[in-house]
Amino acid sequence: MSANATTTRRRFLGGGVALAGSAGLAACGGSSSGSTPKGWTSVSFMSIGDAQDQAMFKEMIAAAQKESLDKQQIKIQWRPAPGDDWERTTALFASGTAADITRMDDDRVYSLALDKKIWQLDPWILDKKDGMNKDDYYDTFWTDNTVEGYQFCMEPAMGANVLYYNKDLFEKAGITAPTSWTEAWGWDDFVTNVKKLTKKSGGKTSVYGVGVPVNIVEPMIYGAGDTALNADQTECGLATPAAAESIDAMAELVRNGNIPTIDIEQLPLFNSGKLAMAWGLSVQEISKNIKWDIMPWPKSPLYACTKNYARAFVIPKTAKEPKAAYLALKALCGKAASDVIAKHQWAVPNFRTAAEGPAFTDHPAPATKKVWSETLSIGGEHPVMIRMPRGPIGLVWASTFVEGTLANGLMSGKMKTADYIKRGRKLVNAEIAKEKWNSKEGLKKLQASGALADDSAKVVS
Amino acid sequence: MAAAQHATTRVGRSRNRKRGAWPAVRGWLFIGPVVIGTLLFNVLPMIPTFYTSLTNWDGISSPQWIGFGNYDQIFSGGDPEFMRSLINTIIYTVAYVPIGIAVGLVLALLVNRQARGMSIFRALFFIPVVTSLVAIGMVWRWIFDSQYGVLNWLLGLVGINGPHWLGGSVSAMVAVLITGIWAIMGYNMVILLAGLQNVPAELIDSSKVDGAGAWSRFRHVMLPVLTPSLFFLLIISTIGSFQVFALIFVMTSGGPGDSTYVYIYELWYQTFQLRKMGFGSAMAVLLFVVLAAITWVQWRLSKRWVFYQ
Repeated sequence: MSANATTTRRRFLGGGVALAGSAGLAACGGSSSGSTPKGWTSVSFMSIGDAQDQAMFKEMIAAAQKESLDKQQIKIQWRPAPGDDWERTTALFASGTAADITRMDDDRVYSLALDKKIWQLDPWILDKKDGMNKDDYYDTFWTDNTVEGYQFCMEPAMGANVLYYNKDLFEKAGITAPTSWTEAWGWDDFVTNVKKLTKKSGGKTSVYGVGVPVNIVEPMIYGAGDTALNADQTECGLATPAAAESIDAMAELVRNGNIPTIDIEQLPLFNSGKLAMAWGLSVQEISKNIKWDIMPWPKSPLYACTKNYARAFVIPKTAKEPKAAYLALKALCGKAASDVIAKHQWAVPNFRTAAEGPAFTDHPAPATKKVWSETLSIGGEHPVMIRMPRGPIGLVWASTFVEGTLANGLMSGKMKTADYIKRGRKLVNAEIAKEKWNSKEGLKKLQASGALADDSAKVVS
Repeated sequence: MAAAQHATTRVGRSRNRKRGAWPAVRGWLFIGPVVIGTLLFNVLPMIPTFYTSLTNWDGISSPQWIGFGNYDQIFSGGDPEFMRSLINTIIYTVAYVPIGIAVGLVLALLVNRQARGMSIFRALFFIPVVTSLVAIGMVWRWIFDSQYGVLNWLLGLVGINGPHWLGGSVSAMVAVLITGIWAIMGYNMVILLAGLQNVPAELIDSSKVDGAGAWSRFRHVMLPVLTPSLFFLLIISTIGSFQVFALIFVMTSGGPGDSTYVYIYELWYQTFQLRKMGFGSAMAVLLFVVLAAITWVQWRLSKRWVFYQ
């Protein structure tokens, strides 16, 4: 009996090991969405993202295949991402195992380019036979994320940050929202309406007027006519009284309980009708019980601006067939794949006809879709979408002013605006001094690094 | 005959030697995987960590040797948040270790009795130990929520206007401490319960005969026997509290402002947000040195108050 019991345990353990082994093999393999036909070129694609995102990426791949890649005998193989954070994706670049097309944190493109980890795309884009038509895309596609003016990535869509508002609360307060960036509220009107929408009881706020994340300071600064860095990038911007007043005006709303402090999550508040306006939500996350629409961020106080977000698709130097990877990437940014993005309302496609076509405009909500697309289409001297500096100083700027303890201090109402600016500027200026940085330094480093395949090829002159 | 006897003795010795060696081999076989695992995954990585701390590695490009530059930056105040994170960690440790052990002791005393269903209580108290800290942090974040939180709702029932727990500098640290202690109390309870069950029954009986009351029995009989368990918890809790991260990450993100910004949070921020792997490694090495020093001091002091039976 005992022997039998031992045998049973062994069998049981053996079975367990076999099961674990097959599960492991299944996890390692099974990544493709169909095998590559003989004679075709295989290009792997990888991105982090939740199940909904991954389903959309697969749909984009299918659309791109049908539109052009099948004819070119290129097969995109979807590869699952290891985990759901950019650090792990970055580690793949360090280890030389990134997928042929990898969706990456846009802030890391600059350092990846400088470290010769990704391909310069300009020569391919400018190629007469296989190049891309510049006019098919909004300017932001070519200008948002360049490395010293050179293309090292593509961003098929932009997460347009606008104000989402609760229509019922607006109606109850008798407030009409602007429907275009050209009609954006002035700052005083905005504050008046925020106060009107805020409800307080027993010393606490029961309905907040507006909710904003800390990166709202970026459009606030530009809206006040200031910039993040000075023109030659030798000093931190945010030096004018107008910018300080603009940020303090927003911080005042936090201190007064009109804006929830940073520890309070916006989404549950918005979905429970306790937040009248929220900046930069995701459509998929909004409750079906809430009637909502979108409107522009107000002038702060000179211009109405926003900071859009886009993740970058890059081709690692380790790609087996870089030219095929480029063609696949081009297809993923093409009309068919962009229509998939539009259909899912995942972001605003950079492909003009997709952003202005039925796939994007036929959704029941929001009614004012142009508030999204205008963030890409309104350019000029003071474009709606601001461009933050990239590169090492841009990174330090962001980590100082929109992340970390200073940002937390400002948005929790615990830090004076003057201290926030003074301490932040000191840190950024110290980094500029340490790096001996100026606006020409980045280009010098890029040219010296050997990262440019062809420095005369430049899509944006 | 004598030769045969001699031969038998030699065979017997040899068998004894084999019998003597086998338990040791068996012991090594049992602990071998743990030892190898510890060496491979805990001890060995310390070498590249120390090397990385002497470089300016950003996680992508090749690391460049900068000697003690990262350490110099730490000690010269080059990182303005370093000192704040260290102070916050010390505050957390000073509260977390004694309160956590005290709560564990109280629970151990409560469940150290032979009553029906006691094992259910023991299991219930232990559940947080086997629960993900991230899940615990998220649940407690909701409990402490000033608008929807159960805690403020309960306080409201008795007429108390609950604070904005995670929005106040002091209350946020208190909230994280409560959560941390709740998460570890079951573990402390189990260790101390094992200690309590090692208290010889004859010692308890004789102290009763001598007329010792409950407090006297606890103070003079149980507590001395518990000191090895308390010492173990002191070491483990101190190390654990210096490494607090997940709860802070989920509940406060180091805020409001920098009021719950602890050492490991700063280490994570420098390493993975700013991608200063070298600087983060230097912080990790310093933490190792500090913890080793604290443990050594505690070890030395333990000779004065820990009693082994």
